[in-house]
Amino acid sequence: MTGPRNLERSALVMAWTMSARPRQVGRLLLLSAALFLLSTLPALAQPGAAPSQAELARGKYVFGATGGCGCHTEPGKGKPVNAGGRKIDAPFGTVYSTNITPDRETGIGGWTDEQIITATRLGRRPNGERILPVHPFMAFNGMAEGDLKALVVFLRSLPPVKRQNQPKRITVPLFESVFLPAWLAAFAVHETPPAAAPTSGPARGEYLVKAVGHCGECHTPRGATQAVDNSRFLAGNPKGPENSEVPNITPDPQTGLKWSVDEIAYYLGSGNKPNGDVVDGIMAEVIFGNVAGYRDMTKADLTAIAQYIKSIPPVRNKIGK
Amino acid sequence: MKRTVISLTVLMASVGLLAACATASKSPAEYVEDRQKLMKAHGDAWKNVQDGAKAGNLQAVASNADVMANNAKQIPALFPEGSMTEKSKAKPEIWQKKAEFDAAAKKMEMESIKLRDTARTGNAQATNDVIKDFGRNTCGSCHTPFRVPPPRQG
Repeated sequence: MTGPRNLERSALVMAWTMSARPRQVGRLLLLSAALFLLSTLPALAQPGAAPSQAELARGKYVFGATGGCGCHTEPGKGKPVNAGGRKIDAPFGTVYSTNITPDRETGIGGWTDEQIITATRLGRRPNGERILPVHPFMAFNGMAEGDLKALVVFLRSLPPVKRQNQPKRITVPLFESVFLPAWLAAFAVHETPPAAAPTSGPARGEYLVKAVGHCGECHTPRGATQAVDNSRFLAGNPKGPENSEVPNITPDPQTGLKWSVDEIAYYLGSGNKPNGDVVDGIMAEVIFGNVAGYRDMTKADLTAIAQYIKSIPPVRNKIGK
Repeated sequence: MKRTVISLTVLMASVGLLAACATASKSPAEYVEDRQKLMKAHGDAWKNVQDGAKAGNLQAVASNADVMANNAKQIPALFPEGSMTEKSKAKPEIWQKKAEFDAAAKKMEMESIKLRDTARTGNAQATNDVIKDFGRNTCGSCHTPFRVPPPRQG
């Protein structure tokens, strides 16, 4: 957006400014500021414009760092990416993940960028309807605006798939009208978005773990209200998604994760555990991803995640026999 | 001479029969123990492959990949119908989809041979390319449908 053309323009304006009188100088400065702003506008104001390779790459990177939005693709070989339909059993009933391909009729192709971002981080559809908190919008609320915008650009670049969303089956009476709003207000833990995504160090690790990677959704135990219990952050869940036992990854020496920073980073980047075993289940899905996954993150990011995980409070919580 | 041949044949037949009996009488607990030992050795070999690749030691990669190919060959026979105990992490799907399970073991064998042969060429880049998706396509593709995941990180 601030390419060589802008620099040229600024140089011209500056040269002109030097030979002008003070009052003109003020006007010229205003003019140059306006010109600069105008030159940055097209990229923001034209959602239909073809995205740059850099934007697409950033979006794909963010997509990978979320674990490839894996819930939105049915498990198994050859299933259409992001077309939804994955069955998810929740305490209040059964839901099916939605189509987030850019198909205009059945996907999110007809939504504006802002609507997609609102759904992602605030859990509201364009018609105002609530998205159930099976979608981790409370965690994604901690994502930086820039990352979300890039993610939207990437989502729009994937092939549209015509596939109607499958209706949910809620078994708890008054769940959506009474319980859910009350629960969201009273118990749900919402992350706070930073002004910009942290780029390095512990803050980067924390951001990737808590917001983008939404690790706590599976790895943090849930209390009686089914909200994640962050006083036991990442201490494991004996009854995780799809009946899996999700390990305690706090640095507790007895019941937690004993791997080194390098081992954790290598695992997230390859799926290989230090004992020669290989990841499977849902963790394999998020590491390898459908189009991109955790393993597509840079070594620096994977190391930041590993360092952050090693720095959180150890919690004694034995998962499994 | 003829007598020797006959007695040798009888001897071999009885040895064979004994071996068959021994196999047939292996208890489920023994099967579980044997395959857990094999998987442990297999994991060790896979770890050695990765360590070898990181250290640029392609010879170590090749020899451990060869061990893996041999291990893979033994997998199907270690999972006869009913060989289950509480200690086992095997899912019943193994016997419901035995053909798929055996195919996954065969794939492990073939991929291990491919890895071994690639490492033997001395091409580090090509070897690393095989290693990159190896775990996912071999170990992972069988563990995900057929093993109850371990909750503890080893």
